[in-house]
Amino acid sequence: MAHSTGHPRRVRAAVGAVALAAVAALLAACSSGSTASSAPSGSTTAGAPKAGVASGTLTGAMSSGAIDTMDPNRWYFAVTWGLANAMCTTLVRYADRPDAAGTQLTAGTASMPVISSNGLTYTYTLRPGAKFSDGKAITGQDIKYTFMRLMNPAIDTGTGYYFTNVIGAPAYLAGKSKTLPGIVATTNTVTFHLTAPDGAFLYKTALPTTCPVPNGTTMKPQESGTLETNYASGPYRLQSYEPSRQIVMVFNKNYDQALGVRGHVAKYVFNIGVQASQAALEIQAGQLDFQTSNLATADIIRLSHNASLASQVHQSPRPETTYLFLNNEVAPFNNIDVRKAVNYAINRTAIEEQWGGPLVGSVSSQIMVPGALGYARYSAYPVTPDLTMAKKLMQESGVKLPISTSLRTQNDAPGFMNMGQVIKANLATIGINVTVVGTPNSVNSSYISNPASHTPMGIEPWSLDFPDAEALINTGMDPATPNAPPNLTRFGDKAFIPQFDAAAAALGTHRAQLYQQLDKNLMYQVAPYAPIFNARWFDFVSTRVGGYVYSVAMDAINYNTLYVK
Amino acid sequence: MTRLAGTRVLGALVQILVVTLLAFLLFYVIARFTGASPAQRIAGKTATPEQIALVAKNLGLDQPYWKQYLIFLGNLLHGNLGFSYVQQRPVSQIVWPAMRATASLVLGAALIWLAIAIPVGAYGGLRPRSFGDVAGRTLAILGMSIPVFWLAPVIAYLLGYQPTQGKLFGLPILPVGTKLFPIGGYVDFGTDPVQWAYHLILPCITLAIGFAAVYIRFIRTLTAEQLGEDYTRTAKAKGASTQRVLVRHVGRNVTPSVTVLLGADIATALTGVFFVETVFAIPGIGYTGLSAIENLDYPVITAVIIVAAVIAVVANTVVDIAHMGLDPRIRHVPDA
Amino acid sequence: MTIDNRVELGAGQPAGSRPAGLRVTALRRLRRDPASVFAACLLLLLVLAALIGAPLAAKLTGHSPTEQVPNALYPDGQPIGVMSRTLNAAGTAEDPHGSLFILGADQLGRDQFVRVLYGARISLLVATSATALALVIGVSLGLLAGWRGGWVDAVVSRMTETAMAFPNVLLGVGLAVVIGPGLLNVVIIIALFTWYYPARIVRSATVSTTKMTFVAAARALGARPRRLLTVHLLPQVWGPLLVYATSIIAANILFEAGLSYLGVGVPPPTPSWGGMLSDAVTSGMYQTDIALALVPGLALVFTMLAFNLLGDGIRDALDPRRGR
Repeated sequence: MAHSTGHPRRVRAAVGAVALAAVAALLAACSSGSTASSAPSGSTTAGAPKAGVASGTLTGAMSSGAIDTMDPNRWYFAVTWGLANAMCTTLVRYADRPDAAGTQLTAGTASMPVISSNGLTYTYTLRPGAKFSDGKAITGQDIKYTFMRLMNPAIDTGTGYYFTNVIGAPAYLAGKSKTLPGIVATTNTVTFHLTAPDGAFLYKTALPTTCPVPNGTTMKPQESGTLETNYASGPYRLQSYEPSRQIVMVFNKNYDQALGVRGHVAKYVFNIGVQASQAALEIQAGQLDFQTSNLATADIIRLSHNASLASQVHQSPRPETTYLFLNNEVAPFNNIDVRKAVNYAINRTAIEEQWGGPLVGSVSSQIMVPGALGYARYSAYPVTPDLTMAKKLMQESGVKLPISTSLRTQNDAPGFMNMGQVIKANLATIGINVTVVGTPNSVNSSYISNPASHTPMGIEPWSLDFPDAEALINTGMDPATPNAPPNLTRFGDKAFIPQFDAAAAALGTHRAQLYQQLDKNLMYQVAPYAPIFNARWFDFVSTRVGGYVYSVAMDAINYNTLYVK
Repeated sequence: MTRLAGTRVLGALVQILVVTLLAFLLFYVIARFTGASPAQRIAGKTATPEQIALVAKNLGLDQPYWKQYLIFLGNLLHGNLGFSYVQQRPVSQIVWPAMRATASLVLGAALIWLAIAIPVGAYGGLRPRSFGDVAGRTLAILGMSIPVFWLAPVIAYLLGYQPTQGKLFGLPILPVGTKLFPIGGYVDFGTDPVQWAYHLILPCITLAIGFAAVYIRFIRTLTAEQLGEDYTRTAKAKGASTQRVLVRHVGRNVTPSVTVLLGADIATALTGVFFVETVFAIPGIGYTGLSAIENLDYPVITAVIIVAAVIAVVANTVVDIAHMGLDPRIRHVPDA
Repeated sequence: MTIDNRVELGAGQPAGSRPAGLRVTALRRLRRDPASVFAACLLLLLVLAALIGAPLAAKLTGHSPTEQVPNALYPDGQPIGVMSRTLNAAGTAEDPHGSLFILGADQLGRDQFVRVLYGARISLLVATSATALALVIGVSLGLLAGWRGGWVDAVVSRMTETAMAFPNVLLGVGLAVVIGPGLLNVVIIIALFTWYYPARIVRSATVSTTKMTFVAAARALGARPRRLLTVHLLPQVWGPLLVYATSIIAANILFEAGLSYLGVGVPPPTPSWGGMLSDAVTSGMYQTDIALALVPGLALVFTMLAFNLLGDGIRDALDPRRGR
């Protein structure tokens, strides 16, 4: 008796037929070109929403790694800064206006401070009506405690460093002292005493990490969200937080609209863990209202060219720069001529094409960025290569060619590796052979931030913590601290220290002028790195979303201006 | 049999111990060599090297490895999976809810693939070379050849998104705005069982396809074998109906093998479904593991690997012991 | 990534049940089975495409697999489609003298046709070398365990079972992230997770061979292991190993594609099918230009199909219970 497993012939012939049929079906299923979509109907535009009236629910998608922490004083990612803008009112805050107008500071929990003539004392007077969501008024002691908390080494993440010029701060930040004499608080005032004038101090008191918390809050990270549930100071407070699943934010009735008319949506629901492209599909299908990640280039292209959807796509500048850092301490980039040659040799336009082209960003050959105060566009180097100049500089450098070096960047976000390949091709023309090494962002960023790694070059994006050049120039390349982790170029030219300090201490238009001059001096004289482009931000929202404003300072959607159509 | 079972269980325990050691060593040691430092990531962009060291000290990352491992092992014995410093909460709060989501997905898919494979495979074994058999095996071999990371987004797009634009497989035959299936998302069973099931339909189908293919072939082969055996012919000669033969005799003999395979597959599936989870935004174990890897959240990575391995070991042990119980021939084989 | 026939290849192949002429019989059966012939032809085509077809295509079309051809993208970034030529300077219409793209361009203006052929190289290279490495590891360990017996066997067997309990792909991804990208790394990682079954097969075959009386006698008389193993062990083992190898190569192609899809496999710009799929899907471009996802997807499907059919054919051909 044959125990055969069945006659194979017919099965396998059928396989071929089905395979062909499947291919035909799939090709038929393809819909090339933009689909004529229909937005769900019912978008009658309501009039401007009324103060203090919040209605409707908006649902948004958040990617899985978007939440860094739920402790307000530890918030550091753009997404959580967007939440901070809704749930906190800092001493002073940014205006709820789009683009550059949104980088202006206005009164928040306190009125605009009185600054002493020598720039060393900032006195903030708290406004009546500023209270936590449990109804209790915010006092000066609460504010002082907030600053001590965010600078406490047990919790400190990322922004305590900005306040080193407060009297007593260095010892406190290092854990050597338990008091902070530089901050003096009464019931309704807070005074900061600085060791040196700081032109960006106002911005620093608008950082989301200075979100007010009650005096006596635990000095350990508070991750359950109770602080935002019970002690929110903004138009919104947290209703529930399921880690990796969902965040629900509701209108805070105890927020005094006299502090600023904000908040017109009754409830925000954030679904965590949705991929950016899937989210775009869901928004188009009407199953979602917005998302917190930047749109993928392909989606930007697809949506912008679909006439019926174009009104749902919004574009904004970002205080951001993507640059090719060159390690000033490692050969061959310790040679100024080589660095300038690189600036002449790279094809900024082609590199930016890899990111998405002129639609999604603008090429740059300067340090300062659009969206930061005092930005004035100029070109230190051409957008397409000038190989003659580049080769001449390589000759003058006296460096023996060919050189071999490596470029490090992240390989888990699209575009970076491709940009690396273009740079590799560009530099090969001037005798520099580059190996491109890509690792995931988390591994890459801790590797390149470590001065001991001696990374020669790499492509990195840098977002400013506040819309002022200090957050880029001083934070990112202070020559007094070449080994600071963010100083990827290891820039340590001591001759520039006076210029850095002077610019940081200046105020107003003088400050803008000094930074513009510093930008030019750096790029023309020493070319510490090679800037490439400034990315723009794209949002795609559903038809129900009205009042869209992108907060340039927070690098997130402004949840306080939205309303449901 | 008890001695065999006992030995098996003991072996399983040793395996689990080795698993914990390897998982722990792997990531911590290798990470040290590549310079990937979680303390750096937590300390923030502007932290000074001193601050990073301070954060590392607070997290206990500066202890020697063997000490960290012992603390870790001690915690594990108490059911404490460790503490994630990236998310600043206990790992068990991260892993168990994720496990529930993945279990929903895998068990739902298992029901679907068994529901497809058993009738189709049995029919194929019953009537070899018939049209039904050929069709079944053709579809099976095709199903085995399609990569799931391609299938998932395509299914989400075709059945989730296109209906809302008025299309079904490219043909404009539906009213615009049809909400056939959600494109993604997950609802907890506790929150809303109906929505939970509704959101799981597409992902479960996607996952089930590949497994159904394998099981159709497997069940068909086993059924055909059994039907060729003498005892089935005897039963039929004695007047038993085909159905009775299939269910009572063939089924009973085939079940142990299918159970073994099912156990191993569910154990593997519980950890390997992240393609489906990522596309459909289901916050399960695979997805959690992937994010933990990207964020260098070592405690969570270690915990996910250990949980997955423990499930595999336990599943295999249980299935082996059950197999011993079900199949008397095995109990007496000295060299298993 | 399940392997269909793994249970059927389990422990306990009876010793000496195969006539010496099986190889000849098997080949005859294979040749007569149209599906296996079809599959073998497909695979041959694949190998030819990878070895010769790829550089030939690059030469004929004038595009290298990593070259980003200007004017292959519309001004809005949309790539040109199947059987299209590059655009004119204004980017509005196809240039009748432009360069031909047989399967269209991808989102960076690279030729899909050339890339999918070069991708075949990567897939085959990685899968076969990983399988070879896995076989070397697995067979050596299996031989060691089966021949020595005793505690060596116990240790190796337990080691194999423990290794099998680990979650394959997750650990593979984790390792890849930490070790870093690169062709060699990918091969090593894949091999690390696929040596289990060859080890088990070889071990049990070795054990049953060494148990046979005449083998034990020969061993006692001082016969050298190598000859014993070659004469008695090899005939039993090559069959299942061959079937296993075909299915594991297929699984490894998929494993590599999966790793590249997640971004931790073969690094760009080297074309790989998984990487091409990843580009198409995660960027959302497949929604407007389905060819971007279809081309690498179908390549994968047909390759897997061929391996599965061939594996089936080989297994059926080696089945001693069949007729001629």
